[in-house]
Amino acid sequence: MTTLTPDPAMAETATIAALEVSGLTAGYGGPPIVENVSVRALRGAITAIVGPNGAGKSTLLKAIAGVIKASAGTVTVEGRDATGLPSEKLVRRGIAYVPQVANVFPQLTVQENLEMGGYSRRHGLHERTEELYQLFPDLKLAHRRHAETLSGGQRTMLAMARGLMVDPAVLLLDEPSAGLSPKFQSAVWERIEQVRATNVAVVVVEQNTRETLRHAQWAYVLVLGKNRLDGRGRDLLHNDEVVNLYVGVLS
Amino acid sequence: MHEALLTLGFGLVTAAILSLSALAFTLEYSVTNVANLSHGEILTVGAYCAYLVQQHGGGVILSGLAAAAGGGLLALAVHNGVVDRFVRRGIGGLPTFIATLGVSLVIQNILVIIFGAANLGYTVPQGAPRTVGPFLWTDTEIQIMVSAVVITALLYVIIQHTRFGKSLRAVSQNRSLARVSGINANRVAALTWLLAGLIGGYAGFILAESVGTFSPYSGFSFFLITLTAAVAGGLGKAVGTLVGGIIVGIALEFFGGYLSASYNLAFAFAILSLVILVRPRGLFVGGRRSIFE
Repeated sequence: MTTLTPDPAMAETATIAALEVSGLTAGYGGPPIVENVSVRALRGAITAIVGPNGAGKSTLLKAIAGVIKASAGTVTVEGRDATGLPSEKLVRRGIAYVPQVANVFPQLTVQENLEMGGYSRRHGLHERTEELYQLFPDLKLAHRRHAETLSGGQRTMLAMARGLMVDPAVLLLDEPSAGLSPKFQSAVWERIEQVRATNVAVVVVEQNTRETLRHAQWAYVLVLGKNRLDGRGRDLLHNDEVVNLYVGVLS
Repeated sequence: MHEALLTLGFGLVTAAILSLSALAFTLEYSVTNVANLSHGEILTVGAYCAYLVQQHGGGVILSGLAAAAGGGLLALAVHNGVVDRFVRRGIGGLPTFIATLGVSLVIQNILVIIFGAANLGYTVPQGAPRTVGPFLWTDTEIQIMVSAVVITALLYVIIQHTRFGKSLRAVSQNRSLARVSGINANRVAALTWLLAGLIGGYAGFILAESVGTFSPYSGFSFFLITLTAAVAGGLGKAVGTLVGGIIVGIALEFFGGYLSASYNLAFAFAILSLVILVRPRGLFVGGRRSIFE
């Protein structure tokens, strides 16, 4: 069951992964939080990274996005090496990262937040903003409001839209549904599915494993900072090992 | 009543200078989270640059431009040479604060070596005071106030409406998110310090013009008042700082006029202590927020 080879059916359709992370080791100066982790994400698919608390899921995303420096391993974006680039350069390579908290500029308006998201765009800022307003109609209505006045759900939408402004190859989402009501959670998943349909490689880190595995074409289970297993989301949903991980039978 | 209005008139001149200095200080703080203790030397260096220009026959406009340029270059050097090196390593707060105090002492003493510790004055005359409504101002004082209003308005437009201004606000609100949005935060911070230095250097020139004399230490004394204005208004918040500068500037002039000007600094610190006790985040922070934040 434990395998690092991608789904053969998906490998046929895409020869070059949008994101290829291999042997990544990273932490915050002390012992590594994630060690030798490999992850692959394809365009037009949702790739989930799940695992119990403290598995290093968020740290992995930060290392991929260049927010923290990896001490080993490589990151390749659409076939081009992007290892060790600072986050402001990775955006230009097509990696958009949406943190779990502090993911909008609170005292900028919705419109200004999107403008900042598209800071590295040479042109098409206006067109891209309009496209995203179609995907997130609530934001268009609130475009002159300060981000700090938005509800939690609207803020999550704005955070995603800010990331999408660069038209990324890979969208990294850190717990997009955390702290939201069930109604907003399903709205967030609806948007994630819509984004996936625009041929973006969506990588989602989530605590809410059941819902996430339902949506994910492929999922990686991390335990204590290491790859434990991976497979199709729906297969993992009923996998005994995964179920056990969450009730604490396996360490 | 007439005397009070006259004092208010002098207070407005002080307020104009103090507001520019405090705005520059708050800009430096906003993008790096560092209270720059060498901010006063930006003013001092501005005053000396203007002095050099006047020694070589330059007029008021050229003096002002030289002061701004000198202040701008110094601020950029302090940011790139000292502050940014700490910020990049994730060392904020106290160590960086102490490092800027070191910069302040070094610059003061370099100026003493070059120009001596004695007070100097400008050669371009102030002009005689004349009545404007209830106020009594010299031409120089009117120029000071007009230029301060123009500079503040320009700064507002830059911060609020330009791409650079928006990236400045983004970096000050969330540096990490600014970077993942593709903003080169170190570059934005450097440009912000340059902008602050231009304003601070010019403030040093008009301060020296208004007081009449200056020395290697005058910027530092004025910095202590600047700190009061910026903290009273709300550190890192432009509108609060501006209002803080105006209120503290006018209050100081009334205190000096009716009690004793020798205790100005003590009075400024009394205001600061009071504000920190009552509203530690600043008088104008919280509640309805201004868009110019």
